[in-house]
Amino acid sequence: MIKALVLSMTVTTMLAAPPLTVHEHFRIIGTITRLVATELDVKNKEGKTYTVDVNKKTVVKRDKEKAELDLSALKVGQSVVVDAYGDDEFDLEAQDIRIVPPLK
Amino acid sequence: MPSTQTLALATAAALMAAIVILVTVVLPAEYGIDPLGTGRRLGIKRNALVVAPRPAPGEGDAVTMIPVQDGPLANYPGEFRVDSRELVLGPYEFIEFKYRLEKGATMVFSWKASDDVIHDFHGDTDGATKDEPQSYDQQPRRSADGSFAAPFAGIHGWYWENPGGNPITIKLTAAGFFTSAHEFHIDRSRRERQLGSLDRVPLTSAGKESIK
Repeated sequence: MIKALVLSMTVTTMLAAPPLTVHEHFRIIGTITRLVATELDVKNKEGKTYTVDVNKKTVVKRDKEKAELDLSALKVGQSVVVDAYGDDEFDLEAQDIRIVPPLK
Repeated sequence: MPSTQTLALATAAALMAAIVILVTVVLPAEYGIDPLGTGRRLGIKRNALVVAPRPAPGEGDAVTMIPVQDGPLANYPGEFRVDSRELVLGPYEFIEFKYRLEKGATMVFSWKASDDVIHDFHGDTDGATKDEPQSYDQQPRRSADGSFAAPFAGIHGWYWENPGGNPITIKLTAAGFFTSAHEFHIDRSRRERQLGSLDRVPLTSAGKESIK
């Protein structure tokens, strides 16, 4: 009985461990170069491309407007400001995406 | 082979453990939901404003500048520092610039931006990782002039964000009993900046000053 309890709690703790990694805030400013239903690629002014996950919780707005838009408002070639969270730059989830005027 | 009752008990115990971990750790770290305050206490609460790791306590310090209060006077073990710099924010970029101050240590400052900026004057305690920064002023401004006494030992300074598509220049001048300066950039890099000593301040000799 005790063995089974210890085993169950150990497994539970191990399964819970991965999400404990603290997420960091990343801001990516650039142009959308690829867009699919669950992710988009954004290339910044230094030429670096970030892949960011998008989902139902991602808030999309147009620059300073308050109205929220659907994910379908995003298009390849648009300039965007993406606030994303993740463990590192290869594991990012977009929280907010602002469509902004073309970057100079 | 364990009995059905044993399995049921083990499953129930595992479920309880999972719920406790979910509420105390996973929700604060993943979603910023912290009903019991454990995320804040453990330093794992998700926070939008935190952009870069904090310097370790005492990092970059030559002397610990703790004030010794004597009535209206505060004495320090060293001279105050002066700092003046220009920071450029590209379109939609942000920057954090902070000085390290001991509890009670003071500084005076002036900053002026070439256009409207989103700003937050705040402080982070020594060794903080994800704890919530303490905000002192978030009023919309294009400039500020003030004095500041640190409510706790840590790094204290400004978050400036360019809300638009044109570059913005910020001119900052400060003097005080800070021991290091730290710049946090949008690419998550952190740079420690050189501080000026009093030798940089031009002297005016007594008797040579013309009085009009």
